[in-house]
Order: sequence, then structure tokens, then C-alpha cells
Amino acid sequence: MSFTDILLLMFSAILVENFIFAKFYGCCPFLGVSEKPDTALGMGMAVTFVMTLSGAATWAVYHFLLEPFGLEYLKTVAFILVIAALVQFIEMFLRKFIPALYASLGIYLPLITTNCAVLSAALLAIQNEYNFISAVAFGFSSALGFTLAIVVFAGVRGKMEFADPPRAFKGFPITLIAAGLLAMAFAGFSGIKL
Amino acid sequence: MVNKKTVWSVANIGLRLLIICLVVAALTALVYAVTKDPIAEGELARKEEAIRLIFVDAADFAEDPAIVGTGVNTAFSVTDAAGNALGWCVDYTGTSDYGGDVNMMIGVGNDRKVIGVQIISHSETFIDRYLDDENRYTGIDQAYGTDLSAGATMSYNAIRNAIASVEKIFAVGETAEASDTAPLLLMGGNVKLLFADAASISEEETVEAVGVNEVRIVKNEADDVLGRCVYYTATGGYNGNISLLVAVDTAGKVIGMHALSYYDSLLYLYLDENDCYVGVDQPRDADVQAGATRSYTALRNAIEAVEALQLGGA
Amino acid sequence: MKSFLRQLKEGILDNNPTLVQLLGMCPTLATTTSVQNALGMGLAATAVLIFSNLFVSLLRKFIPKQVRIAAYIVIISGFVTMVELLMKAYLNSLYQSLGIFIPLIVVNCIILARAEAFASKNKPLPSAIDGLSMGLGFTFALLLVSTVREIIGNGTFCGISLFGEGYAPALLLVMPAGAFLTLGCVIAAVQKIRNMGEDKARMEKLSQVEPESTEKEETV
Repeated sequence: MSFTDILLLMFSAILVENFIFAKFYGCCPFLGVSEKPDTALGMGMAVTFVMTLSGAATWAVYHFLLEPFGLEYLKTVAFILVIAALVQFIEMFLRKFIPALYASLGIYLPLITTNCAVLSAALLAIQNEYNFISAVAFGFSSALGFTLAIVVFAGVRGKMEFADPPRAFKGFPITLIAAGLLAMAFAGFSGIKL
Repeated sequence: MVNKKTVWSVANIGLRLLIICLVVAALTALVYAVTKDPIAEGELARKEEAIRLIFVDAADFAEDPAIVGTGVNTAFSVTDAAGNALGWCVDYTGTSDYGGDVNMMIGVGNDRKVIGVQIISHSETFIDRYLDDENRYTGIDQAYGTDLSAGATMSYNAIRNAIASVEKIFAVGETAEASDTAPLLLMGGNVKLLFADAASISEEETVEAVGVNEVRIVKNEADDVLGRCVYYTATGGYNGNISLLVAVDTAGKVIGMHALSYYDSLLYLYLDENDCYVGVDQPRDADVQAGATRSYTALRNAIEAVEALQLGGA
Repeated sequence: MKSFLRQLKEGILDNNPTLVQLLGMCPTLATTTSVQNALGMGLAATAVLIFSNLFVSLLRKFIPKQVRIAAYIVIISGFVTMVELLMKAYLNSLYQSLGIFIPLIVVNCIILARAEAFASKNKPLPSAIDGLSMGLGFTFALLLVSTVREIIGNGTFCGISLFGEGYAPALLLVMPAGAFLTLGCVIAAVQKIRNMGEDKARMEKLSQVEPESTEKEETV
């Protein structure tokens, strides 16, 4: 894949096929951690970090460990183990060497293991037969799309705090409706063929 | 003392986790061994069934490695019981803008035109409208747009784009040499629809202009220049670009247009059954239809843009 | 038998994993474009839930506490892979429609939550029943959302056209935005029913308290 192809892949991963608004990967943290723009940005950055590294790690594990031995069917188990181990190592590494970063990102890291987005990016990179650079670029840009979605949504929710919805809608339901409206906005990007 | 205890407790934990992993892996491997054959058999059976639904007399099929292209998984050349070549079946994966792959078996006849589309698998809800009970696309003989159902445009385009792509793949071999019996195909569009006496198309001429992708000189059997064929991308319609073949005579005037692919669901109002624009000779606005002005404008703008290039000459 | 029914009711209604506990959003939003897909997803997730709960409960004394999440995830992903292979072999059309969401059952919060909250602390049989009830509750939620989305968004139910040719479907509902909107309204409806129940209980409690206070006043 040429450099232009990779750029186009990244662009479409961020906007056209946004992980949350077009594909629904990563909804749980999206709906749970997006109350303030700061926490949202923190979560987004942590996810970006993990997804880029896991894109590389899972690609390597699949092509050097699973494929040569005919064990492709174990990819789900292998990938989730790689992701869990990666998150654990990142947490330990940050705590020891970059305590400031750990203080701001640290609490979100364990949550990322069960984030659909990370596993999906890894599985999709294999399904679409990306090469190594494309897989890493795909992980990185999907995470950027996730971050974009979560930060925008946090802004929306901040405004919603002053709204007064009907009692039945308070809390989760009105959040979902707001997410739906945002998804409609992002739907404007669909159909862009790159 | 403390050292030994912590080492043992960490090793204990690690060992237990390893045992769990091994047990789970063993169970998974067991299920894999059991299901391996049914999965492989199932896939082969589905492909065979798809091929037979397209070519009723198919008796044998073999992989044809010569047919390659984006979206093509494998191509099979199909023969009947007597060994006669019936055509090809292309295992093609297209995408639907709804987000999802559509896996199809596309049948191509000996004339290198698509004769049938069989949907093997898909994950969206609208494509069923275009399929019969056996998951065959029913509108294969229709011109683009005539069997378009409201609300299912993206599924429709997924099928039609696949057909266009496969025809383009089969056409690529044709532009190198023209043959009397086979139709002249450029970018999947039939040049003979625009120039009835066309016998050959030349190498590309370089013309730098917005929207112009390729220009080729069209000649008849006596090697006289009939005109030029411009592969042009028109903008401004509903839903994106329109790919056109624009026929220009030796004076640089547009004498015909053939639509290759487009998402515009109203464009068909201006096209005949060969996807050619019927109103080329009309003055502008003579044949504009209410509600389809943007499509109309896109077509007329394309005519004006190409005429402005003054591609005349022998 | 009675406690079995009670556990079922809890999973499907009172403590529904999706509608009350608000877990498992990803598949609820993604696979509910048609009732058939939703049903398939719900049943596949239920199968994984039952087996993973059973397995975790059987091994609950063996799994070390410090790495329990990792262990649960390994067990869940193993069973998901097994269900995926079985579906690919014997239920292939369903496998094709659900696509990537089958492996995503691994990160379905519901399964991990039940393994942690219930299966690790209870005997195998109740754990398996809990898996069944939570799975059925999840399926029920999926069916609710997908029914709305398919009937209004596509004019069909289980592929059977309901309104005939002339019906112009509300396409928005089968697109991603519609998923959020439908789920929001469904949860709001559930919340409303629960609020009504709570209000009724509170009114009853208040009306019981009143006679006592009037008595007190009189004595004073």
C-alpha cells in the first residue's frame, strides 16, 4: 500500500468509518467516561496509545506465531491475551518511569482491556489483510476517531447538565439520544468513496 | 525466607494461569478439529451451488489464475459436461456503503459480459429486495436504475458496482487489440454504442483538463478517424460523480454519451436501455425533467466542458 | 423450581443486564438491525454466558485472585471461539450476518461482569442458571430494540413484509444514529415503568405512616 493509500485509510478510519458513530466499537467507555472533556481526552489518549501498540503487537503475533503453525482460529484468544498483557506492561512501565503520565492516564488503562475498539481494530486489520504499517496506522487512526467522538460528546454532555429532560429520560436515555444526534451528524461523512 | 515465599507465590499464580490457558486451548483445538471438515465442505458446496445456479449446465470448474483484480477472491472457468467453455464465475467481494462486505458469485459469459449475480453472503437488510428466493440478483438484464428501490440505493450500488468492476476486469484484455467479433470495451463501456463503425481504439492521448481521465482516438476498419472517446468524470449530479464515455466527432462536437457508473438514482430518466444519453442533439433545457434537474445539469455541463476542449482533427 | 423461576424473572426483568444494569451496549446497538440477527446474537451470547459461568464457577477455587480478570477473559474467549467455529460449520448464514460481532462477545461487559459478580462466588448449577437468565434478559432487550428498528425502519418483521410495497421505511432507524435513538427511548420506557412502580410503592408507604401521626397529635 502506498503512502497515499495509508493516508486515505487513516482519514476514512477517523471520519467516514468512525469507530463509535459508524461501527459501535467502544461504546461502553464512550457512554461511561465521557462526562467531562478532560477525562474524555485522557481516556482517548490512553486508548490511542494502547491501540497503536496493540495494532503492531497483534499483527506480529498473527503473522509470526499463529499463521505459520496453522493456528488462525486461536486469534481471538491470542489477541485478547496480547492486549491484556500489553495494558498490564504499559501500566507498570508508566508507573515506574513516567509517573506524571501514569497519574493522569493510569485509572483508565485497566478499562481498556475490555474496550471493544481495541480488539476490533486488531481483528479488522487481519480481516482486511493489511500489511504491518497499515495495521499500525489503522489502529492509530481508529483510536483518533474514537478520541474525537468521545471528546465532542463530552462537550455535548457538559451542556446537557443544565437541561431538564423528563424524569424517565434522565441519565442514560437522554445521553443515548444525544449520541444518536451526533451519529446523524457523522452520517454525513458516509458515502465518501476514497 | 521472604524471597523464597514470594517467588513461590508468583510461580504458583503463573502456573495456575498457564494451566487454565492450556485447558482452554485444548478444548478449542478439539472443537476446531471436529468442525474443520464441515466448514471446508460447506464452503465448497456453497461455491458449487452458486456456480450451478448461474450456469445450469455446469459440470466442472477450475481456478483461473489469469483473472485478477480488487475484490476478486478467485475466478473459476466453467465447463459443461462435454468440455465446452461456458464462461467464468468470479468469487467477488464487494462493499456496501451500509458498511459490510457482500460476497457474490458473478457469472461472466463467453462474450465477457456479466450474465448473473449470485449473493453468497451479506450482512445487511436491504439487499434482499433485489434478490429472488435463490439469492440471485433479478435485475441483471435491466439498465442501471430501472429496478432501483427507494431506500435501498446503497445495496443496489453494491451489486451494480460489482458488475461494472467485473466487466472492467474482463474488458482490460480487449482494449489492447480490437477484434471484429468482440465488442470494443473501454473502461467497461461499449465504444460501439457511440461509434457504430468503430473497429479500433488507439493508445491514450494526453489531454489535461478537469474531469478528463482518458482520451482515445476511434478509427473504423479503413483506419479513418471517426472521432475521439473521452472517459470523463462529471460532477454536480445527486449523490456524487458520474463516469461517462463522451463521443466527440472530428469537429470536436459531442455526438453521444454513455454512462458507465453513477450513484445518481435519477439519471436513468435520461438514459436509454444501453445507458446512453438520448438528448445529445437537443438544445439545452429541451428535455429537462422536473425533479431531476441536477442530473440533467451534470450531463449538459459535461457536454459543454468536452466541447470546449476542441478535440477535433484527424 | 421456584428459585429457578425467580432467577429467570430477575435476569429478564428486574435486573436485566442491558436495560437496567446498562451493560453490553456495543452488540445491542450494532446487531439490532433485524430481529433475526438480534435473536442470533442473543442466543450466541447466552450460550457463551452459560458455559463461561459454569467453567468459572467450577474453577473458582483454582483461579488465583490476582489474575482473575485475565483468567476470566481467557476462558470467555475460548468459549467464544468454540461457539464461532460451531456456528461457521453448522449455522453458516447466521455466522455471516453476525460477522465480526461474534468474536466481540469476548468483550461483552455482561459476561465479564457476571463472571466476577456471580460465578466466582457461587456453585456451578446456580451459576449456569444465572448465565441462562442474564443471557435471556440480554436477548429480550435485543428483541425489543430490533423489533422497533425492523418494523419501522424496514417495514418487515423477521423478513416478512408487513406493510406491502407502498411503505416507505424510516431508514434512519436502521442506521447507526437510529440505534442510539431507539435504545435511548426503550431504556426511557423501562425507566418510566420502574419509576411508576417506585412511586406506587412510595405512595403506599406514605399512606401507612399517616394514621400513626394523627394519633400522636391527639395524645399531645
